[in-house]
Amino acid sequence: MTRAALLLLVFSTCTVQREVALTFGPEGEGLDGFMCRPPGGPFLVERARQPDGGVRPAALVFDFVRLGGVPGCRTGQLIKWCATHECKPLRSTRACVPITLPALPPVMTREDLRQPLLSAMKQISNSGVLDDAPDEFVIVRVVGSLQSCDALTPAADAPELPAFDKNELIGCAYSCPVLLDRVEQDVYLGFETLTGLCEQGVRTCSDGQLQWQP
Amino acid sequence: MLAVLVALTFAAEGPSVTVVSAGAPELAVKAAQTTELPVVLVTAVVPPPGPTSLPMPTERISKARSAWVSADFATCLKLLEDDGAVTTALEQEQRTTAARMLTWRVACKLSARQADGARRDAEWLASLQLPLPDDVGVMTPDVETLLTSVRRAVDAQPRAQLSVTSPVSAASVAIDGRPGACTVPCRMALAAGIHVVQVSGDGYSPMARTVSLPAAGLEVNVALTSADPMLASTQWHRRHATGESFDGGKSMQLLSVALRSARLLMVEPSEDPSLVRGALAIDGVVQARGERDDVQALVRDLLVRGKVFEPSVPLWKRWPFWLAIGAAVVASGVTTGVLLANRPVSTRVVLNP
Repeated sequence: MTRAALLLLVFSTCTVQREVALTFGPEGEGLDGFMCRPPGGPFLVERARQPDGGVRPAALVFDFVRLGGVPGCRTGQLIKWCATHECKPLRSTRACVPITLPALPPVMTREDLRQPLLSAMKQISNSGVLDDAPDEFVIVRVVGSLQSCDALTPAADAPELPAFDKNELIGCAYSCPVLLDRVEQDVYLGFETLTGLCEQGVRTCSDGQLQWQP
Repeated sequence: MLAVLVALTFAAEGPSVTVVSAGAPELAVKAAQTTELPVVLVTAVVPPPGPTSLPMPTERISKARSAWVSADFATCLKLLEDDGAVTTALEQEQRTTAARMLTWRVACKLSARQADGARRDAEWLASLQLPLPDDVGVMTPDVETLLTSVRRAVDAQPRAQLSVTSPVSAASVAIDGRPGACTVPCRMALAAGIHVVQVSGDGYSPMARTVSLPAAGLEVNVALTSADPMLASTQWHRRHATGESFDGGKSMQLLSVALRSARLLMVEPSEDPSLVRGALAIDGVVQARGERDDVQALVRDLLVRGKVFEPSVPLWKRWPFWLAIGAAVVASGVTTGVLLANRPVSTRVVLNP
């Protein structure tokens, strides 16, 4: 027992402790995935608006997705990679952080939306996402959902992660493939889109296998 | 198979070392009880000296005298006719015995009317420079007259040179029963005639040669053979009696031969009662001498210094130890390097939008 404790002490003393921050960028430029809407529809974040003017509680779900390799960073590359490889969130690494979305006016542009969303995100700054990052290349994915953290956090005996309700999605962002134990900068979360018509991309991004969603 | 077993047994016990003490046998016993040595210690006692000399023919001389008194000259001559008895007496340094034999031979021959033979014996007596024995007083005057005249004649002749050499350096030379005449190689002036040259040295059997020294001189080379154990014992006792130190090179050599011991360890009380002296001889050659307060410590010391066995080398003095240490240092260095290079990393991920 004493030996085991001593061994643990030695190993813990030898372990390098690091901290990596996830960021959407100083201007919130990585929040494009939270400013998507379907053709002819409202922004997905507007799903949080309640008839009485209130805002439904939301959750940011962080997943660390195992890629089985190191693909490129662009969306097309990731989708293509995951079509032939198993891209699967690691069950033990899911983290869920409740977030209170801002009250949104009825009519807005994407740029009107960016700053309030960034402010809301900053409300949960320094939230611990994961104590020990995986020792492999992963992408970090954050999915915004109106589902509760309880609904999205796997039960102790659940073999799989709960799937997202596509109708409750409010946004998505992801990082490039990264080895968090080695990365020497903040990890940027982002979403590649040039327009707001990117609801399909949010569904693909939040898919359990990162598969293309028609 | 048996030979191999015996060889292995002996190999396991180590070499045998004879431990002896002339003055304190109990000291040798204690020395032999020294433990944890890779040798076998065996105690021994100093053997007694052998007979120093052969019995002299005094009885024969007495019988010859009786025969001469009884006018039985033939018997007298028969009893004394052996020249070997004279030379043997000279080898034994019994000059008086030799002189008596020759004198009675002269008397018997004169009485038997062998004037030439009597003169030859008188000349031999004179050339040997033997003193006239008291027996002359009971002989007829013509015997004394002959002996005296021949002695004068021999003394008047020039001396001849006798050179004596030997392969054994510093061997002692005895001439006609007179010990310590010189040390080889040497030369001396003697009367011409028959002489007995004896060369001796400790560790060797004495060798006597009877030579006829001509007036022109003679060179004699006398080789010696190694002494047998009994003679070596006698020679050792002779040296010991003179008070010579027990650990002298020659004494240790003689005792090694006397005890037939290839490895001899001798211990004796020192002049200082609290100390013990000792010496170790290997094949008769002293390899180490020492003095300690503990006899068993002295034994260990002498055996190590005499290279009978190697002392136990401390671990830190053995090269495999340092090889192991070096290997351990290298291994730990490599391990540390590998561990440092591959230290586990724990990365905490936080949100900082």
